[in-house]
Amino acid sequence: MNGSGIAWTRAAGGGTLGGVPRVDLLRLLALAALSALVAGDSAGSEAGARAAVASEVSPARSPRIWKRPVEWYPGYIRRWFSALPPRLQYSESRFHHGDDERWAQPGWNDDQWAVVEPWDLPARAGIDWLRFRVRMGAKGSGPPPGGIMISTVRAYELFWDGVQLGRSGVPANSAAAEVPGQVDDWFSVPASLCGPGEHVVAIRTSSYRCGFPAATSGLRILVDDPATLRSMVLREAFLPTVAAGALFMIGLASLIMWSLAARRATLLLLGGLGLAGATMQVLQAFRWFFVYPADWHYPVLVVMTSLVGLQGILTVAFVLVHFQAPRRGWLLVGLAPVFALVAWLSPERQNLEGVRIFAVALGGSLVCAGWAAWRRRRGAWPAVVGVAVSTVLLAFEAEDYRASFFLKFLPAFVGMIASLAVQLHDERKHALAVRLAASRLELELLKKNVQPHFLLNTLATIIEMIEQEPKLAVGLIEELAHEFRILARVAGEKLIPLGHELELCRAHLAIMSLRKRVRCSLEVAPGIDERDLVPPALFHTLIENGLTHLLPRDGVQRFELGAARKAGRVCYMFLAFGDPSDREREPTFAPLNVTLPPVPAKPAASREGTGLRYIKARLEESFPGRWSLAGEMVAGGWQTVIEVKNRTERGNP
Amino acid sequence: MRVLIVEDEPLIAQRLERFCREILGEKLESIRGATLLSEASARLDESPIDLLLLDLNLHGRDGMELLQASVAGSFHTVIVSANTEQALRAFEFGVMDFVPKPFSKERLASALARVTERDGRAAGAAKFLAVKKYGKVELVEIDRVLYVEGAGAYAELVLADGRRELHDKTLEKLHALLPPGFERIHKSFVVRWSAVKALHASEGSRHEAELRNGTRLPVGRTRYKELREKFG
Repeated sequence: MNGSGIAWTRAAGGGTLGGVPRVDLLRLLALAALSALVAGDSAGSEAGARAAVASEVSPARSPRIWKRPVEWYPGYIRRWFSALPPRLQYSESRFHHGDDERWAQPGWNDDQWAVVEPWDLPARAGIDWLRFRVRMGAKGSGPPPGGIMISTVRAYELFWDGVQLGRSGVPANSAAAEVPGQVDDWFSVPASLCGPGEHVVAIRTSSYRCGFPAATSGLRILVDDPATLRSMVLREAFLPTVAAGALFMIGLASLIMWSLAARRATLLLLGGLGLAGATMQVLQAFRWFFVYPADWHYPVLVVMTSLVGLQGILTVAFVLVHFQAPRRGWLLVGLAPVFALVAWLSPERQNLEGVRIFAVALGGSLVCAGWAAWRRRRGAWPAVVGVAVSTVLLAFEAEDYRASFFLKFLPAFVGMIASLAVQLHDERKHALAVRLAASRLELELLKKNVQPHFLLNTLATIIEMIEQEPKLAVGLIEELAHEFRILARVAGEKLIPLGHELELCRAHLAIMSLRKRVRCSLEVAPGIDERDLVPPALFHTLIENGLTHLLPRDGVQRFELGAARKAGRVCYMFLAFGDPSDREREPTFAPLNVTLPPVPAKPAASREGTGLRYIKARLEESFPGRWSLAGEMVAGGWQTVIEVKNRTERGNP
Repeated sequence: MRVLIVEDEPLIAQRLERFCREILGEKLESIRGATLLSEASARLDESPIDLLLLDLNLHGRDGMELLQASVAGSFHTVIVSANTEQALRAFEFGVMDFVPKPFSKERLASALARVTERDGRAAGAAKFLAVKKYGKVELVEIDRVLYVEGAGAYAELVLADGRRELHDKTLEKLHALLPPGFERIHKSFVVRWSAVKALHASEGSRHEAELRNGTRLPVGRTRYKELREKFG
């Protein structure tokens, strides 16, 4: 039902469903539970009405049934009446079809008129009259109830003790003649007419242009002092106004973050959720600040209920995407017919399709978040708790999707944001770790080249050369300077053109040639593209390894680099020629006649040492998950094969 | 003095050889070089040596094993390496010296002095003695050694628990490696001074040191007076 109680219909099974175009057994069965709920809601007042009808047959003037206004109205709009002064009482409402201006007079005997609920008047049935009495208590107990607020989509004229207080639109006997009024309208009762005692309220009304397709429509009539009525409206406007602003900002912030910072689907969904919610709340608040024609009301409600359903769908989509549920695309597609079925099964013309979809989606989100928590996904618990609290709140009061919807949805919304925040935090930590790893790799690259073994041995060689062959020493120093210049250029880079890498390798080989007194050379096969990007010191490290572990053959230490390209991948074959040094073959100090405990065959990984670890870390840094590295002893030396997939990067030659 | 150089940088090996010749002069009986350990093996099979100048990268298990095997030999070991951060570890295992690269002639001379001079001592940082046992190298903590008894070309380590371990080095070479707390009391005995309870001079000019566990060891006549003073 709608929160204002302006226009609605009883659920299926009620006596007023005659105009429903499709009433089939399946539908009735499916709604049985809901019918029971709604029937129970109004059972009390129906009993009262039956009693009134029963007394109608007696010739005597039927007794009035006085109740506090709050007792006349159904639960979901009672809050409007609970604030009315306790000294005020309404009698039962009486209804008559037809038109007679005398019916406005307080003295008119309406005992034979049908007793109806004021929110259950037949729609589009010409001019009707509704009469009821207001009883006021003694003077001096609070301000006089000199104001009337009526919320309805019907056109009407309002009479108080026979005096016309005003009208909203123009009631008429045909749709063409009728002029729709305002959804909410306020009237003042002259002070002379609101003394203690009974007053007769008569309303002449028609509803051709009410917009609602339901068979009945109704009126909500509040009698109180005007200030109280105004403050009630402001209170009503407060929450949607606040919610609209909050949701709009969250939605906008999410979309800005999505477009500028991180293009992730969850931010987009969160942005959609915020804006859908904000739009809904704006529509809700709009009614209280800017009065609009009654015939707008139905389309507005349709939009609002659609937005509620949309928020449900976005919520379940968010949870599925956020926790990366397997086959989430199919799950969402599969949910579409479920939502359609839910909408179809919803009580007709009550605008509850949206809230039903929302409830189902919330249940689905809870299942998914629970699954994520079970799988120990990070940030799952805030989502579980938030969605669960929202589900419980919704279960308590399922049908008010307007006034309190924001409060019900808030826990789930907060849970989702918290979950996203946890994920963002994790990602930032990961990014930081990646950056840290990158700087560690840079440091490692520099350390490799200033490490004592390389640098101090080179310096020791230079010292000996200076004393023995000064010219060679100058050459060696120049080569060393050359290597360090290249190194300084490439050390900070994640990827460098292969040409620079080869330059680095050749400078190193020149140094080693002078140091080892063997000819060290690197041959590059024609398939090599020097613009290819590779991590710095990739092949340099392989050369170092080769120089350490292989012995030169015939005074030559030779290396060879070749490349093969297939669609989207490049495969480097690096060959280090030479004989394995004895350290590789026999890790014992045989000359000293010592037999060491047998060395267990170590897996290749642990034999790799820092060199190959560096290569692997570099490859993973630049080509995460898209590389492979394999090494094997081949005839004549050691071959290392590095394959990188989906390479698109090209550097400048 | 017979020296073996294991160094795979030809110019550095050349420099070591040149300096050895210059420093040791006539004391140098033979000097040989090897760039690889397998070559060194062949050299050692030809004839024994007194000093091994070893370029050793101690990183990893192989390096440690080589170091242990080396210090368990009958000769002194001096490491010549660029990896100075490994010096402490090398000393713990009983190398005579650790010469960081690049090195000057003076630095090498001081290392050779430790080996060649009579009272030459290692830095005293040794914590282990490597002994060969059933074809394996075992490490003996020096803290557990009570005294060392010379036996010709070998020496016997007597541990606090009474166990005895045979070491390939001579008593002189071992004494050079042992920390200052060890005292040469006899041509055949080096004892942990803190383990000595009393010195006895009995009739028949027999001098003895009584250890806290009751063991009595002979004390050289020439050493007795000096030790008596030291004992206070």
